[in-house]
Amino acid sequence: MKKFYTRPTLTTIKLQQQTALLQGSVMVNANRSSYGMVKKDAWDDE
Amino acid sequence: MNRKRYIWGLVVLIMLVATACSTGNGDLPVSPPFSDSGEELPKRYMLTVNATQGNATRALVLDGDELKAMWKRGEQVKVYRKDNNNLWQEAGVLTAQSDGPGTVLSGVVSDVGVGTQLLFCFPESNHEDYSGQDGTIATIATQYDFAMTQASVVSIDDGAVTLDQATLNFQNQASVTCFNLTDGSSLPLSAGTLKIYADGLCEQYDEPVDDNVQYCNTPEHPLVLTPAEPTSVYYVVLRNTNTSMSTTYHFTAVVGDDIYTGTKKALLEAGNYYSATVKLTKQ
Repeated sequence: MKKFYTRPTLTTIKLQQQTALLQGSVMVNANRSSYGMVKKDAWDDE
Repeated sequence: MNRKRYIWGLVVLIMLVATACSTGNGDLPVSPPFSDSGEELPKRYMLTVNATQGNATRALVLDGDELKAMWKRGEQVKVYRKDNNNLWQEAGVLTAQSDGPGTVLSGVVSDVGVGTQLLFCFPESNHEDYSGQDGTIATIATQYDFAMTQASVVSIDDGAVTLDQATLNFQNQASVTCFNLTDGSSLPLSAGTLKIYADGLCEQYDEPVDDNVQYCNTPEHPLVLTPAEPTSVYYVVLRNTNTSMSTTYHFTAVVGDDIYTGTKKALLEAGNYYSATVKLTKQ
C-alpha cells in the first residue's frame, strides 16, 4: 500500500515553533550599576 | 506584725536582686565582666535579629560622596517575555543568591523559546511609582530604586535556558539628588514638606509595553515629600522623560505656617547621583 506524505507548510512550521515554548531554569550573573560619585554642578540657578 | 514586715521585706529584697541581675532583654553577656587584672570590661551581648528578605533588604549605600547600589541575597527580579504582539508578559521570577554589586540570579521562566526577548525588572515590576517619598536614602532603597535590563534566549538544553549575555547589567531608571534647602541668608531651612514640579517629571512610569509606547503619568499635582521630621536635607528620586534639554524644577517648602518657593534647572540623567542647594524665598 502506498503511503502519502504531506510536506509541512511554512504556517505549520511557524505554529510548531510557537508551541515549542518551554519552561526552563535560568542561572545568570547580574551586576547592579552604581549611582556613582555625586555630581555637584548639574543643577543651575534660573 | 514584725514577722509579716520581715517576710515582705525579704520578698522586696529578692525582687530587687533579681532586677539588678537581669540584662533587661534576656540576652546573656558573652564576655566576662572583668579583665584578668580585675578591671571592669564593657559588656558585649549576643544579639539575634530576624531579617526578612525582600523589600526590606535592598542595599543602597551612601559611601562618602558615592551612592552605591548592591544586591542583597533573596532579592527578586521579575522576568517578562515579549509575546508575538510585542507585549511584555510575565515569565517568571529570579532570586539573587548573594550580597554585593554582582550576584547570580537563579529561577525559572515559562513560555520562552529560542529567540524570546526577556525584560528583567528590579524590583519585581515594570511599574515605577515615585509618589510618597520621605526624603531619605533608606526609603529610596526599599521603594524607589528601580533597575532593569534586557536579554534574549539563545538556547534551551535539558531545561536550562542560556541567554545571549553572560552577565546582565542592570541600569538604574531614575536619578537621585540630595537637595539642601536654605533661606535667603543661605542658612539651612528645615521644611516639613517639600513639593517639586517640573515638565516631564514622572510620578508614575510604566516601562514600554511595546516598541513605541511609553507611559508617563505627569502629575497635575507635584511630587510631595513628607519626612518623619522637618529637615533641610532631602534625598529625592527624580525620573524625567525630558532627556534632551534642561528643565526648570519648581520647589515649594512648607516651614511651620510659612511657604517658601524657589526654582532650579537641570538635565538629569538616569542612574546619576546629584547634589544641589536650593535657595528658597518666603512668600
